[in-house]
This record gives sequence, structure tokens and C-alpha cells, in this order.
Amino acid sequence: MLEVKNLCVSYGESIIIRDLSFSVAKNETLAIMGRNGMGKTTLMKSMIGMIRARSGSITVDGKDVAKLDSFQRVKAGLGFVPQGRQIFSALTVEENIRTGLETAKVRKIEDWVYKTFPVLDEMKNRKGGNLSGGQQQQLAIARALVSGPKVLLLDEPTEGIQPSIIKDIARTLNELKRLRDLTVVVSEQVLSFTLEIADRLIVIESGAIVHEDPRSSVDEAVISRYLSV
Amino acid sequence: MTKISAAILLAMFGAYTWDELQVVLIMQGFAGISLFSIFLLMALGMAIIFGQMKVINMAHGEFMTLGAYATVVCSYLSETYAPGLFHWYFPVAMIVAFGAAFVLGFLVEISIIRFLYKRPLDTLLATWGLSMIMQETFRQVAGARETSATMPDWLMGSWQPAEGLDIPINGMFLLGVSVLLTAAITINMYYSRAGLRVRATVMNRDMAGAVGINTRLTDRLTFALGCGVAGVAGCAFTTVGSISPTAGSQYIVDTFMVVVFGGAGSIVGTIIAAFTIAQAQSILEFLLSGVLAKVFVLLAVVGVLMIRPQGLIASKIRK
Amino acid sequence: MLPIFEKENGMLYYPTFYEGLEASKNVIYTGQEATQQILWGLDWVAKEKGAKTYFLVGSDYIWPRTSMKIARIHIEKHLKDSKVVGEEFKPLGDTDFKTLINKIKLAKPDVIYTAIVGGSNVSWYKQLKAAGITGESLAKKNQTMLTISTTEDEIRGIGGENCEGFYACMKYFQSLPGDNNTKFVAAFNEMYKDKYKGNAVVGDVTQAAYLGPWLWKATVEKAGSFDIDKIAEASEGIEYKEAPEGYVKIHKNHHLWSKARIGKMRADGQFDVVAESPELIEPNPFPEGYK
Repeated sequence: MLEVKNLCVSYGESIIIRDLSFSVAKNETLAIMGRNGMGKTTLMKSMIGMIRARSGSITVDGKDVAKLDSFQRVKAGLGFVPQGRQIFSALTVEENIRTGLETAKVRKIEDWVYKTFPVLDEMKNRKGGNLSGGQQQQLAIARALVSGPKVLLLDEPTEGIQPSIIKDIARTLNELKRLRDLTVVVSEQVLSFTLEIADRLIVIESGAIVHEDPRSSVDEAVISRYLSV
Repeated sequence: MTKISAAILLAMFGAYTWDELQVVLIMQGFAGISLFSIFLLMALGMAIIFGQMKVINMAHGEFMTLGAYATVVCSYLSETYAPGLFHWYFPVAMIVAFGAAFVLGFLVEISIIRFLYKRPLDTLLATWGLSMIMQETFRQVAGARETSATMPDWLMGSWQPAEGLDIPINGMFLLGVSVLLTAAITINMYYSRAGLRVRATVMNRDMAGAVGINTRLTDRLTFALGCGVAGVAGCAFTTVGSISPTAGSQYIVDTFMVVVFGGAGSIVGTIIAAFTIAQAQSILEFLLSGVLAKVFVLLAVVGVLMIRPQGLIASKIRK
Repeated sequence: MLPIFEKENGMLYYPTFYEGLEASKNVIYTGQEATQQILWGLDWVAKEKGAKTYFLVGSDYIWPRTSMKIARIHIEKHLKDSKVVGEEFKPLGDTDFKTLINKIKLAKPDVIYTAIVGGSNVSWYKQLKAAGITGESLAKKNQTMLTISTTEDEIRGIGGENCEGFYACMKYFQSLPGDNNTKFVAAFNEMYKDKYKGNAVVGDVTQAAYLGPWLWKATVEKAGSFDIDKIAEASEGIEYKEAPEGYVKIHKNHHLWSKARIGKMRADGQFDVVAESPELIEPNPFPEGYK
């Protein structure tokens, strides 16, 4: 469903992602793990097109999107939940969700959205900036999902979220995967959360893959070592 | 309160009867309101563009001139080929003026502005150059002479609700146009899909793209819209002012003052700034003189901006 | 510009309205200097209309400022029981006159005396009309609007319907009778027929510019030389009998002897000439008592 091949990304002279390749099968959930500064967010941003890759290809459902603008990638089937949520703070909750409808087939908010996120229904007319972290995370996910993506990219969805809510997010995500027929790529540092949702884990360090495990045979000790500073 | 102000006025204008004063004060109130609508019309287009992409369009005045010339062409065509419809050519001219300025704005965005988004100073220079090119083009095509569009009768003269009280019809017309245009833009901004795209893009351009908004097209259309609004303003101004290749450049200073004073790009700020400056200007002019009024207003604006560089209504937007 | 002409020793035939207070060997002033245009016109309005109160309005630069200074002095010192009840200048290019018009309404002057130029002109006349001040409405109250800056050229841009019934004091109007002028206007139309399709307008300044080459030709013939110094010297007393405006002569001070005329604006953009100074008026660029 998603294939990244020989991806190189750099800021000016410094190379952040080096010749990175991986692929994700349909309905699979891949977790990309690594410490801060190892290139997780850069990788995610380059997949959605906020940063242009220097070389390499990003193929979504058979279509190479590496040269396209962000909005065209969304059209091609990518959905993006950024690090720190990046809610449009002065827009209402409902307006935030509607921004995701630009590329959707049906240009109205369908019932399942508020059914899945009842709290957003209650807060519909509040400004996005007034929501709590957990609520914003739900909003960011809803915003990404209404465009009907094939692949959902989540960049550190647990960052800054209370531990009690992390479990809810995991449960919601698993439910959505089934319900919306999703393929998911999630970058994470929290192993417990990752283990609840991921089918496969890769670890990156300095922009390259250094370790890969299917969930069935995860060696928690090894991965923890990679994640500890 | 009324008694006190009446007393002050009597002291100033003791030689006049209360009726006379009343009439002139009503007309003077209207003069202020009508200056407000002129300022608002001038500034709207620039505020839209500046708010959306932080581009100061120095050719703003020339887009107004384009709208004005479009009106002249319409008036001429209608007089020559459809005299029966002359009475109602003006609304058509307004649409034509919008269209002409919109299309040109769109082309300018594609050919110049989009290459300069990350270089605000260069956009200033580039649009300034554009303004000179446009001025010279007007001069070549239309000639250097001042011209006017012929006004249909219903746009001329004054409405006389009472003896000696003349409310200019073109002033009321301008007021109507500016109110309708502001309302249309506001509604479009807050209740339409296009407006949502614009607001999302202004707040967070990268993220807007990442949720599927075509931010470049949004920029392009917003720029074109701002130019189109300038065109409508130019068309409306043919009812009060003259048309010449350099007519637009005479508006640019006031326009700039209103936009900056209002807080660079917020529509509410622009409205408040236009109102404040217009009232100050017309009251001071009434009490002092035209030139002195201008001096004091400029000084006051500079003073306020020194204390509040972000303008009256600061946009709460990051990036 | 003047220093350059003087330094390079060139010759300028200068046709526009100007403030006077200047005379140069290197310039022939073919338009009216301020006193020629102003004094007789004010005398006319005082006598014919019985005017006592004046409101002076001008664009804010040197020509209107000086003109209004001269006008004020003439009104206050030389016209009996007359006074200036208001004087206002607007920035060049200003298009908002509503406040000023209200002040004029309040002041109720017998004469609105104006020198507004350029783009402001159109706004000024349109807004006067919109405020209910027209030739007709003024006439009812025995008020007069007299301008020294609006010619046929400006009216083309303003629209005659906005000006009808107002007066201008110039030395030339396109509608002047006489063969010289009829021929000149016809020739002008013929020359620019592609551009104006026979509807060319000729204003005061255009005619003054037209005088330049003829005066130069006559001077060169008299001097028998193209030499600038000789031309400058020979200029005094040069006559041009067939001038469209009628007989003119160059004065010692390099200005022209010419007549002043009052025209009343018509809806078709032309003037009815209603008065004319009986004699040529002597140019006086440094008027004693008017500085």
C-alpha cells in the first residue's frame, strides 16, 4: 500500500534521512521508533510533503507522490496527524474537521465522525485552540480521516498526552483501523502504546533503519535500549 | 451633553441660526461617513491580500485605475451601442471592473508574485515596478488626459429631505457599495468553503496543505480577489473622482495608512481604522483646514503606531 | 528648470498659468501672469454681480497660494466693502471635497473663487453638483463661482453637465469669435482628426503654447539670427496680430500684453464669452502692493 524507496531528505547541507526504504502492506500498522532527533518527524513530514525529499520515491497505492504538493498527496490517499496536533486554533472544532473535506468524495461531515468522537460533537462550536491535548488529538485524527485516506500517518500521537488517555487513543485507533479499512504508519517513542497498535516495528537512528521486528517477536529489551538516551 | 455641545457650537458659529447649523452638521456627519466608505473601499482589497500572504501590493492603486477605466469603457459602449440600457450600465460596469482586475491579478500572481513569497521586500519592489508598468500602459492606451465615465442620472445630484439639506447621491451610493462589499467579503470569509480555505491557510500554511487544501491556488485566488475588490473600488470612485493614468497612485498612501493602522490584514481592524481616520480627518478639516487636518491625522497615526506597532487589531495568527 | 535654461542659455516659451514674481531673459511667458488673470476678473465680479464676500479655494502648491494671496489683497484693499470669508487649500490630487463644500455652504459667500488643478478638478465639480451647488442654484441666490484653473480641456474630463453655469476668467476660450480663432480651431481639428474625430478641444493653455513658435519666428526674423542673446534682446515689442486670442505683444519683461475674458460654462463643455477687458492688460509679474 505504501512504499518508500531510497528516500533522502536534507536541510541545506545536513542530511537527515539517508537512503531509507520500507514498505507497508494493506491494513498493516507500522511503527517507526527512535529517540528525539533521529529523523522520525522529518520522515513523516517528507512523506506528506511538508518537506521535499531530495531523492527517492514514495508510492501510495501504486502512485509515486514524491514530487507532488501536500494537497495532491492527500488526494492520492495519505492522511496526516502531525506532531503537536497543529489544530487551526482560531477555527471552531467543526471548521477544523471541514478543512479535511477538501479532497473528500462526500463534502459533508458524515455521522461516523461524531459517533467515533462524541466529545467533538459536544465541542463542535468551540475554538480548536480551547480544547485539551487529548481532545485536540481526537480532532486532529478526525480531520485527517474525513478525507478518506488509505494510509494514515501519525507523528508521535502520544506526545504531551496524559497516560490515562493514551490507552483510549490506542483503543480508538484500533477500532478505526477496522472500521475505516486503514493502513497506518505511526512514529513513536512510547513502547507500551506501540505494542498495543503496531503489527511491525522499525527503529531508526540518524536517518537510517537499524532494527526491525514483527510484533510477535518483539525483543522489548533491545528496543528499549535504542530508545533510552 | 447635547446642551453643552450646542453651546460650544453656538460660540463657534454664533452668526448662524440653529436650523442652518443643524443642516450643515447633518451634511458634515454624512461627509465623514462617506469618507469612511471611500477609505474602506480603498483598503479592503489590500487588507485581504496582506492578511493572506503578507504581500503588500504596491500596484493596488493601479488595479483601482483599471477598474475605473473598465467603467469608462462600459459607459462608452453603452452610450454608443445600447443607449436604452445606459440607465443601468453601472452595475454591469462594476462586475466588468471586478472581472478585469481579478483576471489581471490572477495572471500577476502566476507570473510574478508566486516566485517572491519568501521575499517580502522583493514583492514590494516588484509590485511597485508593476504599478509603473500599468501606469505607462494606461497612458499609452487611454492617453494622459483626465477622463470621466458618464454617469446615469440616478447617480447624480442630491437627495433633499429638507430645505437646504443636500445629501449627495453618489455618497450614498459609495456607502452602499462599501457596506455590501464588506458584508460579502466577510460572509465569504466566514461562511464559505473558500473562506475556510483562506483562513486555514493563513493560520498554518503547511498544515492546511497537509489536510488537503491547495494552498497555492488559495493564494492565487485570494490575490486575484483582492485585486478584483480594488477594481470595484475604482469603479465606484468614478462617481466622485477623476480617472487618469496616475489616479490610483493618489490613493495608495491613504490605503496603506488605513491597512497598517487597522492591524495589517484584519477586516475588522480595517473597518475600525477607516472609520477612525475618516472621522478625524473630516472633523478636523471642518474645524481647521484640509491641509492641517491631513497633517494632524498623519501625526496621530504615526504616534499610535509607535505605541502599538501591530496596529489597532493585531491578528492573533502565528506564522 | 529656470536655472538650467539660464545656465545653458536656452529659450523657453512657457504657456501655463503661473504665479508671477519671476522674469527671465531666457523665458517668454505666453500665458497670463497672476495679476492679468486675477485683478480684472475680480473687478468684473464685484461690479457685475455686486459681490462683497469671497471664499478662496485652491490646490496646495505655489501657483494657487500666490494667486489667492494676490486675490485677497485685491479684495480687501481695492474692492469696496469686500472681504474674504474663507480660504482653503487642498492637497494636490485630493478627491474629497465634501467637508470643504459644507464650510462654503455655511459661509454663504457671494463668490467662490477657485484655482483647483489636475485630478482634484473632477472630484470638486462632481461633488459640488452632488451637494446641490450648481450654476443654477447659485444664480438663484445671486452667488457666483469663478475659477482661474478650469479650461475646456479640464471640462472634457469633468463633464460639462457638472459645470454648467459656472464662470472662468481666462484670456482665451475656444468659442471666441473672430476669423483668427475660427481658422485656428478648424486647423487644429484637421491636424488631430485621427485622434479627436473633429471634437478636439482647445483650452487657454493650449492656445498660449501655440503662440510660442510664432512669436519665436517673428523674433528670429526681426533679429536676423538664431542666436539666443539676440532673440532675447529682440523679443520686446514683437507682435502677433493673427493670434487666435487676438492681437498680442511681448512686453519688456518678456510677458505678453493680452486681454482678460470671462466665460460662462455650458453643458456641452464650451464657454459663452460674457465679458472682455476693453484694453490689453499690461503684464506685471512683480506687482507692487500685492506681495
